[in-house]
Amino acid sequence: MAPLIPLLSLQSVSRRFGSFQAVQDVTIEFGPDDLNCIIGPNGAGKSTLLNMICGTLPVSSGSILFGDHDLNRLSRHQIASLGSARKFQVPSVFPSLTVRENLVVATGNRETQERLSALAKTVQLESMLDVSASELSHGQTQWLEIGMALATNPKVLLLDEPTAGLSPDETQATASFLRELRGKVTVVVIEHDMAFVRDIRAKTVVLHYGEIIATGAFDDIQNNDLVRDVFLGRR
Amino acid sequence: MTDFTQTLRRRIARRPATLVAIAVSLVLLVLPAFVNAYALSSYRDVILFAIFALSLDVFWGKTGILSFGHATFFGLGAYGMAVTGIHFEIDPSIVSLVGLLAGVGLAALVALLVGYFILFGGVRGAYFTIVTLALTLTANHIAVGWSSVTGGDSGLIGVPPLVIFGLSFVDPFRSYYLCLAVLLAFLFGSIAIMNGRFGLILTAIQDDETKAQTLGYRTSLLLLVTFVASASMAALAGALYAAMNGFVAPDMIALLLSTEVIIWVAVGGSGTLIGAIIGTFVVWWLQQEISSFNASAWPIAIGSFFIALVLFFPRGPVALVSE
Repeated sequence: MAPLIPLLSLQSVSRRFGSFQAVQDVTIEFGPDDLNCIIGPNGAGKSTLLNMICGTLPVSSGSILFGDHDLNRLSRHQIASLGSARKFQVPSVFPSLTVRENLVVATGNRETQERLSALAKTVQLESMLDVSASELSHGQTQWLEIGMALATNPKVLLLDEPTAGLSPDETQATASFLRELRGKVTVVVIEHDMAFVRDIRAKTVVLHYGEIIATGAFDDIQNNDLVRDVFLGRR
Repeated sequence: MTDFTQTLRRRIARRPATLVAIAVSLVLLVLPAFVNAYALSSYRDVILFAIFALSLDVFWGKTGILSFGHATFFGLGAYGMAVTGIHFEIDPSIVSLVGLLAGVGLAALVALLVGYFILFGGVRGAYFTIVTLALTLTANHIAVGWSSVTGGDSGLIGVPPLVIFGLSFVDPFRSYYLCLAVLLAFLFGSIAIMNGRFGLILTAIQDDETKAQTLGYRTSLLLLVTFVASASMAALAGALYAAMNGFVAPDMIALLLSTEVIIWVAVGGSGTLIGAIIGTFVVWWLQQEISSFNASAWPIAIGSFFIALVLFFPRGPVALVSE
């Protein structure tokens, strides 16, 4: 059987802000349709890593490959056009537009009424299509942004803290939704909520001070002494 | 009632600015029946300034990026028309068309070059405003300094009257309706485009350009297209103004005109499109009324009016009516 070719791979990626080393020599491979999670304490470099994958931050050294494409050479819209979609840490939708218009903008030229309705139903906003995005609750805004990311038909879905500010019910619904995406699209989730990470049963990468300290299934990760020390603040 | 009529009514109800645009269009269409030829020429010039204001609103109102150099494009249109008509020996039957093409083409080219470097260079917000302000200052210096071509401080007199495909537009009635046709074509064309997908994307870029880029949009290119289209509209207004009034002067490519057009749009409410037209007429009417009492009072009045507007009605009267 031929080895699985990774869809997205980071090779010795580093990022420095002045004298501060935010990400240090990170090498990760994300296979097609994998569900992955990157965890780590505050300041571990998780969002910086995601920003580099999206092209919102250039790498200081190393390379990020999307299939055969070196993302270092591409602009943000080109990276998006390859099939990369992102939900930002701070919910980022277009507040001057309605929910429907946000989805229309996100779909590009691909939308039909049925598809818009299906997307809205997926993110539980089907009754709010004509409501201004500025009037949505925090949780609804998070879901709208996830819906916008899905609307682009992504090959890789990057979610930066998708459960931040969500109620327990909404968090559970998000976990269930992500589990359903397994096998359909490559998902990379950055998350703090360990119960949520356990719930989605993703391949997990642990970052600490910008370096990878552990990778593997969540059950193995949570029994790793180094990881426990880091999360308990012993290191 | 047919489905079409019901759909139209729903759409108009959702967009009160469109309703106001229809009402204003009807007033302007019947206006010649109630005024004399002299007044009609004045209204024609205000319509040309309204096209100029609309051009600014298409860019500023829809992208949120303020151009302080829009008089550059109005002036390039006017000077392009004048220089072509006066310095080149062109067949009188086509000189107006060549002049229009030269004026609009020159402005579009300048907008394309300047816009490319500043928009693709990531220049936005106040920095964009300052660069475009410098553009007008530079253009004005050229208009004043290159006197062998532009006539210097005096400008150029004797721009050939507008003749298109053998049809002369010297008659005030005919020239009024030509300008009104151009205005309405731009107004309803802009409304249709801005209410469609392109307008949605521009609003999205105005809200969060980075987010729009991560959805796959080439935002700098879309902004450049809007900037060049806006500059071309301004240039057409300038070219028509030069042909219909027979002269150009450096104050058509000056900072004062760039400032005034911002006030016209702000008075009407930026981003509403029809507001730019209403704002132009309101400010022009105020200028007439106030200047008839005391000519030197106008600059103080317009300044005070603008401050009051920004303080109490920052979104302009059209937005107020909508609310």
